[in-house]
Amino acid sequence: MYQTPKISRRTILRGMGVSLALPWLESTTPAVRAAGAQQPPVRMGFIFVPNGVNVHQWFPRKVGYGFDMPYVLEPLKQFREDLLVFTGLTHDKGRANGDGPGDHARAASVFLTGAQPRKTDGDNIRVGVSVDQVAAKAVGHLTRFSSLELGIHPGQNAGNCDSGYSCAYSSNISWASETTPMGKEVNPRLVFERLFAGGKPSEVEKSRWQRLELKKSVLDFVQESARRLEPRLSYHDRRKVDEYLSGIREIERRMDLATAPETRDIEVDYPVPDGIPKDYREHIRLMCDMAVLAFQTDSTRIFTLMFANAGDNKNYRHIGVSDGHHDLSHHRDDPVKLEKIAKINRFHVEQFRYLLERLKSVQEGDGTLLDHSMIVYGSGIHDGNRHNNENLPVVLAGRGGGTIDSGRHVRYDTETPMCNLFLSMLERMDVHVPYIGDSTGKLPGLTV
Amino acid sequence: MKRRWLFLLLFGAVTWWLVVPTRGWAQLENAPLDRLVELAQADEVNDRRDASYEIVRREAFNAQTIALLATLLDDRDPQVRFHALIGLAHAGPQAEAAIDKLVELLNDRDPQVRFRAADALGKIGTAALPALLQAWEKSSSRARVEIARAIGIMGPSAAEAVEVLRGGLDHEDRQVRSEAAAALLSVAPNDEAIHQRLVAHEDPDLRCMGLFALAGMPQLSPSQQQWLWEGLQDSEPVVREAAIVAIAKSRLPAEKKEEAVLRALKDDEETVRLASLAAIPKAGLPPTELAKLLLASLAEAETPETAGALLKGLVRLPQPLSAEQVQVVLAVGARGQLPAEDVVALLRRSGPQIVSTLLQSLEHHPQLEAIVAATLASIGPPAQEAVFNCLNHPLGVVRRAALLAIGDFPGDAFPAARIMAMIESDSDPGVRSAAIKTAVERAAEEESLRHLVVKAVNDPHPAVRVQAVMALTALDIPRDRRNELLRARVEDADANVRLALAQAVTSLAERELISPILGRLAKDAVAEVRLAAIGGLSRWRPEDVDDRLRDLLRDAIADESPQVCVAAIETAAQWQLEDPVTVGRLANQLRPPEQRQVAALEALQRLGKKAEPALPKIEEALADDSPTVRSAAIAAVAAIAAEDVSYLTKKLIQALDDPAWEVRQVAAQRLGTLGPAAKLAVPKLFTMLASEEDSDFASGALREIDAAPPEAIDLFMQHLDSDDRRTAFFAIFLLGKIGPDAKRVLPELQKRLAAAEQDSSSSAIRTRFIRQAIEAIRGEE
Repeated sequence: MYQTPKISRRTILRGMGVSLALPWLESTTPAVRAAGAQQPPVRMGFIFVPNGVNVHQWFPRKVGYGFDMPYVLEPLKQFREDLLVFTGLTHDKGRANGDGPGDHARAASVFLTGAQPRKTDGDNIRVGVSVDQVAAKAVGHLTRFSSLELGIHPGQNAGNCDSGYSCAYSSNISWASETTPMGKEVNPRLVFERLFAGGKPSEVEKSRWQRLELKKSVLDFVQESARRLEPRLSYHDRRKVDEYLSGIREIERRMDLATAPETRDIEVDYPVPDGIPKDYREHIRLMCDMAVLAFQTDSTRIFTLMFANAGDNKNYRHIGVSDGHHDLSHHRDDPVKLEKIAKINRFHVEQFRYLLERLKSVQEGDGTLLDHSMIVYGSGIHDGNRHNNENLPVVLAGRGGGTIDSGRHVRYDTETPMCNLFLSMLERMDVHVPYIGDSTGKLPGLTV
Repeated sequence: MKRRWLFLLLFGAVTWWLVVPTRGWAQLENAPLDRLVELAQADEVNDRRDASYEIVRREAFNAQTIALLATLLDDRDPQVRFHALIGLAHAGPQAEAAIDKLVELLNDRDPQVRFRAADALGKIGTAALPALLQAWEKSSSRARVEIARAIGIMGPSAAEAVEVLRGGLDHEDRQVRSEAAAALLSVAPNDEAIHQRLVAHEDPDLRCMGLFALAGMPQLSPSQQQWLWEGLQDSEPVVREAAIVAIAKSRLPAEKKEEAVLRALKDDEETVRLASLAAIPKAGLPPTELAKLLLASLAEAETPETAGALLKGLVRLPQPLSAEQVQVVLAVGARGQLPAEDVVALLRRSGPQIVSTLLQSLEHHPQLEAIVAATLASIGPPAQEAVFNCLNHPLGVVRRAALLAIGDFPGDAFPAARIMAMIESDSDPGVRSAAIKTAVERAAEEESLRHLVVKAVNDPHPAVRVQAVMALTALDIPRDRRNELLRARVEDADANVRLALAQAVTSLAERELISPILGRLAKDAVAEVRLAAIGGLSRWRPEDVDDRLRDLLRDAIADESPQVCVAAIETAAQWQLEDPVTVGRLANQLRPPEQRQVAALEALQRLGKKAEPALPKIEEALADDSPTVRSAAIAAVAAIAAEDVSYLTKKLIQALDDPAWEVRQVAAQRLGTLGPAAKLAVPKLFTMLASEEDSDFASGALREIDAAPPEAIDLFMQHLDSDDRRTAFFAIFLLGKIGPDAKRVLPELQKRLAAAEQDSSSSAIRTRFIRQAIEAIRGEE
C-alpha cells in the first residue's frame, strides 16, 4: 500500500551558506519504495599505501573461510567476515617492461589504471583512465560530486620524482583521462567545506568566516531547519539524525584541535600548510571521516585516498620507527627492518580499520554502509625489497550491496590481472565496459 | 633592425618549442592509420610504442593491422609486444591470422606473455582450436595450463576439446589439472559424466569445482543430488565448505537445504561452520522456519563450538525472537556455551518487550547476570524505566543486573540517591559491590560516595572490599587516608582483594607506597596475585629499583607458575639484570611449558656472551618438539656464540634442515650476518631457492654471505638454465664469487656470454651477471 512520504530522500538542512545532506532514514523509505527506487546504492573506495608490505606478515596461509590473520592484518580481525583477502593479483604494467628504474612511480600510477605509464618527467605524461573515474563518468551525475580524491601528502604534478618519471605519477592514483590526473585534496577542512557549503557565494563566505573565526559549527546554521524536520521523523530516525549531527560536531572539533597552532608537531618531515593536521594518524582519520560522510549523505559514491605518496620516506616515530619508510622497504631480509616494516604496515591497517568501523556504524536500509560498499585497500608493490608487482597485497572490504561473498581468503594464479577485479567492481556499480587497463575479463570468486 | 631580427628569432624558437612535438614522442591521436602502421615499424622504440598503443586504442583492426600486430609479437620491446598481444585479444576472431604465432608464445619464458597469448587465442575462438589441440600433445606443463585456459574461454563451442581436457585431469601438475577442470566446466557445463569425474577426483580442489558446478544446474539428477550430499561428508574440510555452499545455492528441496545447513553448523571444523553461516542467506529458506530449526538444534547442541555457530546463524536472520524463543537462548546461554556478545546482539533486536523475560531468567539462571545487564543496556532508553524499577526487586541478582545496565545506559538519567543507599545497606554483598562500581562510573564527584567507599573497604564481604579498593584510586580521597587503607589490605584474607590491591596501586605514582606493597604481594600464596604484583613492578625504570626488588625478581624467575615466571623474565630484561645468578635462573627455566622456554631463550639471547654458561641447556632446546622453541634456541645460540664462527656455522647449517620454516629462516638470517665466514652454508642455501617458502630468506642470506666454496661448482653449473629465474641468476652470481678456483667453467660461461650478446631477447641483467662472473673468475675485478 502506498504510504504518504514523510520526507524526501533529498531533504537537505539549509542555513546561511550551509547545506547539510541527511543520511539514509527509514522515514524516506515509504516514498522511495512507492516510487520503485532501489535499495541503498553501491559505493566504491580505493586506498593506496606505498612501498609494498612485509609479505611474511601479510598473506594468510589458509585459503577460504576462517582464514588466519597474520600480524599486519590482525587489527582487522573483527571484520574478517566483511573482507576478501586476495593472493595472486598482479599489475604487469607496474613492471619496467623495458623502461628501467622508477618502480614507485609506476606502482602508484598503475594501481587503479592498469596501464603502463609513459616514462617522462615532462608534460607529455600518459597512463590510463583509473577505475574510479570510469565509474564517475557513468554514475557520477547521480550525486552532487562525481567522486572525491583525498590524500595526506600534497605531492607535485611536475618534476622528476622517481628515476625519470614525473611527480604526477607518484602523487596521484586517480586519472580522469590518460593525461589528466585528478588532483587530490589533502586539507580535511576544505573537503568538509565542499561537502557542507551551499547557497549564494556571499553567504558561503560569511558562514565560513563565522565558523572559523567565531568557532561556530555548521550545526549552528541549520538549527531552524533541523527543528522543523524533527516532528516528521520516527523515533529511530530522530536518534539517527542526532547521532549524525553529533558526529559532524565531533569532526569539527577534531579538525579544530588537529590544526590549532599550539598542536605539537608529531610527524612533520614535509611542509605543512596552515589548516592541515600535523598528527598523521589524525589526518588520515579525518579524511576517512570525510569519505564516510560523503557516502552517508550520498554526496558521492566514489572516493580514492592515498595514505602517502609513492616511495614515501616519512618516519613513524610515534610507533617507534624512526627510519624512513622507503629506506626500510629495501630490507635485504634484515629481520630488524622487516619487523619495522610490519609495524608501519600494521599502523596503516589500523587506520583502515577505523574507516571500516565508521562505515559499519552507519545503519542503512537492511544493513550498514559497509555492506553497501566495496573498499579496496592495497599497494602497487608486493615486496618493497624486490619491487615486484605480482601477488599484490590487496584486500576488498564490504559486500557490494549483497553481491560479494566476503569472509574468505581467495587465491588466484599469479599474473591474474588486478584490473579484472576492477571490472567486476564496475559491474556491481552497474557500469559495463568491455575492459579496463590490462583486464582480460571479470574476476571469478567474488561470489561462491 | 638588429633587435627586430633578434626578436623574430626568439619568437620562432619559442613557437618551434611549443608547437613542434618533442623529438621522440609522436603526437598520434589524429594521425591516419597508414602513418601509425609506418611508425609501428620504425627504429625508434618510442614511435613503435606510441603507434602500436594508438592502433589498439582505436581498435583499428583490419587484415593489415592484424598482420602488423602479429609481427610485433616478436618486437624487442616488451611494451610493444604487450600492445600486440592485447590488441589481438581485443580483435577477437579477426585475429585468426596470428594463431600460429600466438600458439608458439604459450611456451614463452615470461608468464605474462603466456597468459596473454592464451587470452588472445581464447577470444579468437574455435578457429584456434585445431592448433591448440595439436600443441597440447607436445607441450610442457606450463603451456598446457595456458592451452586449457584458452579453450575454457571459448566455452561450449569448443566441445571437440573435451577428451583432451579430460586427459588433463590426471596430469601430475596441479595447475594443469585445475585449468583443465575449469575449461571442461566451461565447455560442457551440463555434462554429468564430467561432474562425476570431478566430485570423485583425488584432488580436493577438483572435487570443490565439481560441487560448485552442481550448484548452478537448473535441475539435479538423483546422482547429482547424492554427490552434493556426499560432499558434506568429505574428509577434507575445504570440500565440505564447498559442499554446503553449493547445496545452499542448488535446486535441492528446502528441507534438504535446512538439514545440510544444520549439519554443517555442527561440523568439527570452524571453517565449515563459517561456510555454513555464509550459506544461510543463499539458501532462500523462510527465515521463521530456519529460526525454529536453529533454535531446536541450539537446545540440543553438545559443544560450545556448535552452539556458537548456531547462535551466529540466528544472529544473521533478520527477525527478532519471541519471548519463548528468548528463553531457549537464555537456557543455553546459562550452560556457558555461548559467546556473550553474540547473545546480546541477538536478543537486543527484540526490544523492550523482552525485559521481563530477561529479568525472570535470572531467577533460575543467576549466571546470566552479565548477559542480561548488557542486553538491557543495549536496548537502551526504551528499557530504562523497567530497569530503574528493578533496583527494588526482591532478587539480588536482578538488582545487580539492573545496576550493571545502568552503568552503561546512555544519557544523564541516574538514580544516585537510590544507588548510594544500596551501597550502604543492601543485604546482598554482590549488589553493594555492583553499586559501588556503577556509582564510581557515573557519579565519581559525589562527596557521599567517597565516604561510603572508605567505609566499604572494611566491609565483611570480600566482593565489596574488592570494589572499594579499586574505587580508592579512582576517587578524590585524601592521600594519607587512602594510603593507610591500601596498606591495611596487604594482609587481607581474600586473594581477590589482594589482587585488586595490586592492580589498584599500579596506577599510582608513589614509589614509597607501592614498593613495599608490591614487594609483599610478589610473594603471595596465590599465583594470580604474584603476577599482578610483578606486572606492577614492570612499569618501573631500572634506576628506580633497589637490590631488594632485584633479588625478589630473581626469585620470581624461578616461580612455579609459568605466567609469573615469564612476567619476571620480561621485567628482568627491562631492569637489565645480567648477573650470573640471573643467567642461572634463566637456564633453569628451559623446561615446559613452551611459553616459559621461549621467554627464557629470548632473555638469554639478549644477554649475548654473558649467557654462555647456559649454552649446554640451550643446545638441548634445539631438539625440542616445538618449532617456536627451536627457532628461539637457534637465535639464542647465534647471539651467544657469535664469536665462535666455526661452531656457530655448524649449528646454523644443521638448523637449515629443520622441518619448520621459522627455524630455517632464523638460521639463514643469522648465517647471512656472518658474511663470507659462512660460505660453507652456501650450497644448502642455494638449494633452498627452489622452495617458495624459503627462497626469500635464502636469497637474502646468499647476498649477505657474498662468497661460495669451490665444492659447489658442479651444483651451480647444473642450474644455470633453471626455469626459476632467481636460481639461474644466483648460479651465475655464485660462480663468480668462487673466484679463480672456478676457472674450469670459464669456457662454458664464455660460450653463454657470446650467445646472450647475440640474442636480442636475452635479459641484459643476465648478460651482465655472466660478464661479471667471468671477470671475477679471471681475477679482473
